Amino acid sequence: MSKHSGWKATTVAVSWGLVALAALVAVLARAESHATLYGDHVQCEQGQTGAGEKCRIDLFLTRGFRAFSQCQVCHGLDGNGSSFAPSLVETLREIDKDRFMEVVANGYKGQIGVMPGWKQNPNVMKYVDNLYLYLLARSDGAIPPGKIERYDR
Amino acid sequence: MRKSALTLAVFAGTIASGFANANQEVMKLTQDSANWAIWGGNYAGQRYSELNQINTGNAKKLQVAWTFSTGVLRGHEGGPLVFGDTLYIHTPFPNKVFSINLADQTINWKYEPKQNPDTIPVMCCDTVNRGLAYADGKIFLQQADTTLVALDSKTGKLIWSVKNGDPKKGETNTNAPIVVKDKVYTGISGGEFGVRGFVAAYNIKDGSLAWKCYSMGPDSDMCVDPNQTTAMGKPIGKDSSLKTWKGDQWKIGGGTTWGWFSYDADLNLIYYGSGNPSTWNPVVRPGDNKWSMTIMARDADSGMAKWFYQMTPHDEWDYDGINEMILADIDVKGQKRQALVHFDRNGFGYTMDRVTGELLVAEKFDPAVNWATHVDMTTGRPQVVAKYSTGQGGEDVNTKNICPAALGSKDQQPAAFSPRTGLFYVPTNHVCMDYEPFRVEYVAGQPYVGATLSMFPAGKVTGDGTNNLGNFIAWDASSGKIKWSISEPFSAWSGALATAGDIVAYGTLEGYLKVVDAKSGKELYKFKTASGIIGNVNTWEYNGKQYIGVLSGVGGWAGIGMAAGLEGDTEGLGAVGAYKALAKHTQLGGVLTVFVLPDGA
Ligand code: HEC
Repeated sequence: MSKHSGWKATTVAVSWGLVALAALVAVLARAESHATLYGDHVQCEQGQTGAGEKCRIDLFLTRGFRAFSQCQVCHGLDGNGSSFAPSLVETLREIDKDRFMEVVANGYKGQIGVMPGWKQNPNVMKYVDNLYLYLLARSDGAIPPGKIERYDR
Repeated sequence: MRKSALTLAVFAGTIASGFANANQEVMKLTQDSANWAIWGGNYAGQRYSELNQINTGNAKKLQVAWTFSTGVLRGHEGGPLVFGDTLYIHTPFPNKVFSINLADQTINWKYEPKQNPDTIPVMCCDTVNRGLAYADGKIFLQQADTTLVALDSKTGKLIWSVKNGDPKKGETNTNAPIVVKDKVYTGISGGEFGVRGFVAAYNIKDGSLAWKCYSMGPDSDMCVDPNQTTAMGKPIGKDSSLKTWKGDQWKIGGGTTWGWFSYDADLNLIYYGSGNPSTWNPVVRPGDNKWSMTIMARDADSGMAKWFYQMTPHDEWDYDGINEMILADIDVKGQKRQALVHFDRNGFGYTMDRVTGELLVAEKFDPAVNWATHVDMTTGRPQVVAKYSTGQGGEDVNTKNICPAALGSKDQQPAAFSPRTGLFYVPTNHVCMDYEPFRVEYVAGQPYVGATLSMFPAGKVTGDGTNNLGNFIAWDASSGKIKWSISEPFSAWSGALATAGDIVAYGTLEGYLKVVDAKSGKELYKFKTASGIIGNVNTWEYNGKQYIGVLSGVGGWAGIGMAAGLEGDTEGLGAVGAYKALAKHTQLGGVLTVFVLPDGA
């Protein structure tokens, strides 16, 4: 496989190439199916090295990133978790969209602590679909952590 | 063992005598260096002890005397209070308190409040608590859910409790209260929820409210006299706060008060700082946003403000001004001064005249600081660098490579002052950020952030090839210069201790308790405790032996900033990728570790 194609999702699957082949295939399939969800919102340059680098996003995913700012204080600046809330990058590999929507709206109390519900917070709920796809793209490694430049302005 | 240098005796004499009219009992306790009866060791917040049994000659022989698990996993800030034969220690949420018998380390009593877990999600950055206060046979605990309680110090029984705020509006508490005379003072947290900051004084007898003074709003709310209260030597004038906000934005304007309080009995003034204005998007709140980001000096009895100094007018970076105020009588530029020294989040170390509020020194205590070139000593205003102004950059624009990051060149972790060396010992962060403000809607009780951030080691900006996230420095507050600096891989997020043994002690995020030479910074001893340290190092004497105690228990903001820049190599930082995330060094868990010298050392 070429190290870099236009689809970063594929690239990431490659960088995970250390895992067993079966797992790799599964991840690939998953990431590629996700890519159809957020692919329209991501543009990556060809021929760059490193997962998810030199990618740009549109306003849709930028809004997801902004909504994510409400999560940073607990889930870590990069969403990789902190001493009191789990990594969202990992969690998004484990839960489906329904669970995500339920948890973000209503919150829950779990083994680690309390996840607040956001249903009264317009800064999150107006953009919850954006947020979901942003985090999904992050967890697939299709886009890097931190601020990503926009291509649509 | 408590033979102190002559200079020290003289120094202690001048400061101590003035304190005669504070709460007599607490004053006496803090004057006996066998005790650690207040968060800062003394009312001046110096975190200095005259004990010298442990000193530069023998610190290398230190050993663990005993340990105590708090049974709580969240970030453990603050430190123990110790007097007589008892040690009192607190925990993060659910805010347990233990009274421990020093003779055999048995638990005299334990207090565990029932608090609504709904409080947790409205605490922005972990459920920390910074400790207790004592006076009049009572232990004061400021719970997370804003309940301030007075416990019987002998039995742990609840004597009174009072609601200091409303978690439904995003109001919570993390600060340590302080007692002066017959009142206990506390603040409020929730700057990320549009909470309007205040300091409240409650009567220690029954918890009734004596006064409450806001950081912003109408003059009557702020306990100011437009003609008498000064800033930069001039009366602040009428409506000094209202004029600096658009419309009623001050009502949800932040300026919260979650830091430490100091007290000067001679002047009868309490000192503390106010936090960031909300939201983090500066574009929507034109003006200086007074009196956020301000050092405040208030009359301890009435709350009336004597002077204000706003360090960061119109904040654009979240540089809360809440860090501790250290009161010390030092020479400044050849003149003896009753000084107040403050290491702000914004990266400037300020030396003020604490009587008048005159600005004496304002210098960067981390050379990486770049958001301002300097502080204009006539106006007191920082000279902001346009390219690091997130307001001038504007909404939806990513302003890059600002130093320091939002967590500041230093956060709440209090510094120490040694009158023997005349130096301040400061745990610092060495982290920079990208910051993009955007528009948010305000809903009561909901977080109200309004900016996306990323953080990384300052070396990425300075280009000096370093990738450390912290330094522990010795600072000369007279000249505003760093005397020595110890590079730490992670932010130094633990309160420091200085002693007459000419040692300085602090903790690290990996969990080391480090003891260094106060003059040179040379490492004398280190021990890896159970978890990362964000607590304060305190010292006391019991049965003729000096002990050093510190809380471990990683967490807080420190645990959030940490992942930044340390995972992988995406920023092209090379060596940074070599650093493993903090999780590789340490795990959660609150433990008090107590150190002592072996017999005959
Ligand atoms: C006040 C802290 C806090 C904030 C803010 C916060 N979370 Fe959480 N979140 C938690 C904690 C704690 C957990 C883990 C709870 C547990 O399982 O014990 C969690 C868990 C989750 C989970 C895992 C659910 C699962 O089934 O495993 C998701 C998804 C999540 N959060 C998303 C978000 C999003 C999206 C935001 C921002 C809109 C956010 N969180 C903001 C504290 C927070």
